[in-house]
Amino acid sequence: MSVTENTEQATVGVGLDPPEIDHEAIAAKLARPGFFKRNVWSFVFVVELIAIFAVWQFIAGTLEWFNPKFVPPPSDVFTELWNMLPLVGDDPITEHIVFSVRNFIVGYIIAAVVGISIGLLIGATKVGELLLSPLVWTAYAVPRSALAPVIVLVWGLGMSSKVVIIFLLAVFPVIVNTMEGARHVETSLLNAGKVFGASRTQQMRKVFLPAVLPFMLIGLRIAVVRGYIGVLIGELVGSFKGLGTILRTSAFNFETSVSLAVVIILVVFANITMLGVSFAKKKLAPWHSEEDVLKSR
Amino acid sequence: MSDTTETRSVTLASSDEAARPGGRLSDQPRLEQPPRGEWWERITVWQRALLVLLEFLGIFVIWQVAIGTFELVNPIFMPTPTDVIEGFGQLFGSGDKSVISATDQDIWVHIKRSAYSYTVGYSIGVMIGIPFGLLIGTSRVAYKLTGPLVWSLYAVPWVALRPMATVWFGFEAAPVIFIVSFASLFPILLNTAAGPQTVDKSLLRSAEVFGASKLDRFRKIILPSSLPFILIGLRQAIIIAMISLLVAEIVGSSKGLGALIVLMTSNFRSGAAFAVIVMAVTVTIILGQGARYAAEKLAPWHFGHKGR
Repeated sequence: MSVTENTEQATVGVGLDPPEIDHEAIAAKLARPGFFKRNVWSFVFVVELIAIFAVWQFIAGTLEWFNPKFVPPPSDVFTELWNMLPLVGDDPITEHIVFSVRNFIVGYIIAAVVGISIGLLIGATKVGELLLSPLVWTAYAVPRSALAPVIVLVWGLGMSSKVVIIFLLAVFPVIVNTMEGARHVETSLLNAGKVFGASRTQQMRKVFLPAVLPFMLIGLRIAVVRGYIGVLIGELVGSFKGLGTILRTSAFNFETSVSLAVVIILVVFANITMLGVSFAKKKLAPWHSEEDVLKSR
Repeated sequence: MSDTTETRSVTLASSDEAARPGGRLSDQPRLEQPPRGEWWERITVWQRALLVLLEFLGIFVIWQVAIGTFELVNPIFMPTPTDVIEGFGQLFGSGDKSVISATDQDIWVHIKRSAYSYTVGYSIGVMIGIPFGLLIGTSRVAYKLTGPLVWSLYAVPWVALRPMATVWFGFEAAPVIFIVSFASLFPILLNTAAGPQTVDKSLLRSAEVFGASKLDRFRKIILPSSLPFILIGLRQAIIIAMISLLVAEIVGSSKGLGALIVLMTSNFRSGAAFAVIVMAVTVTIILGQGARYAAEKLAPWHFGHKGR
């Protein structure tokens, strides 16, 4: 805009006047973009999400293109979700949620402790690497979830078989990440510690462990997803209780809205746990940044 | 690991010599260092391989003796290596030996069904994943519009969809194919999308300067530099597709390798169930090695032996 004004002036006037500088326009250009402009894509996403739900509601609920038993409208799903919630719903599934989440927590903690110990043993000692790492890689290649029927046969339909499955699925990301992290600790750091007279325990505690910590936490974060998949596999193969059981019975009763509500509950739980681990990583290892090409855009 | 660092330091030293003929580095006579450290730091690759082999043999022997001979654990729960070999006989044997023939099927029915579901499911994942990944990798608007949706779908554990897949797609191969393609889609999609992000911007600019059209730039720069990422995604998807295939067949399917595992387990023939798993592992390893070989051929600058 200002450019055209200036040229106009130049042709009209004698041509000696210095062009007027539009300070306000420049300041406006340099200023931090406004709240709306900064978050424009978030708004677009919210609008998009609302639009998707509206179209889905319209097609499935109003027009009934599909049998609502197969493709329920979102309103049904959210009503079911509300009904299922503990404390507020009419038909709370507290018992099942507690069963699943408790299994997850027990299996995950065992996996974390065992995984970190084995990972450190392999990563920190040459003998461990020599003898244990081929075993770990072999076991890693086996689809452990395929063992679920055998595990249910051995440990029964109760809690223990679920914990074993969750443990087996969650332990390997922890082991592999810890051991790879430990293997790639910079030797210059360890040497520097040695030069400054750190004892063996001090080297371990102050140099080695902090260097491995971020990788442990990455492994623990991957293990969250694996753990929840383990919860589901265990309960789908054979169980009396738990979210997976509800998922199975509701799908077989053609109550797809209930199934979708359970899926939403699961996604929420898995994401809360993941966020917790990510938060722990940010607090415990703030120096370590992951390059995530896609999310940084 | 130590091998690569050694070669790197050697090449560095030699390039230094080339840069400064008669320089200080080459004047110093290099002392051949005697091997130091404990025995496990001195052994060669072959000795190490032998050690691992012996270790595995030892484990198998202990396993066989502990469970087969002394029955510390009921062999039904934890079959011995010989049980697993017998399991193969039970699976592939005909007549009385076969355990599947009672159901009027033979093992090839299951193998064919699994191969079909695996191939179709994986191909659907590839056919959606690569084009869509390239789209959201190259176009910022497309990424901003669909990215959050993709990430939230990625958060859905694929097993959770298995019961509903039965409702939507029936009891034949279709629900299994759905689960396999859903599970293999995301590694392919997300890795492919990361590819165009890492393209060297100066390459794109120089191509623009030399008058390459948008299509040319995509075809000759973006696509080749994304190729390694696509291949990594394809390789990851091979493994996850196999896992999802087995799980999807275990949970509510009457044919396929996963269903066979359930059938054998419920007949208390865990040796045969383990044999099925051994088969699946073998196939996965073969496919994975094939993919690795293909990657080295297709993108030697990224996967070649000299590179990473």
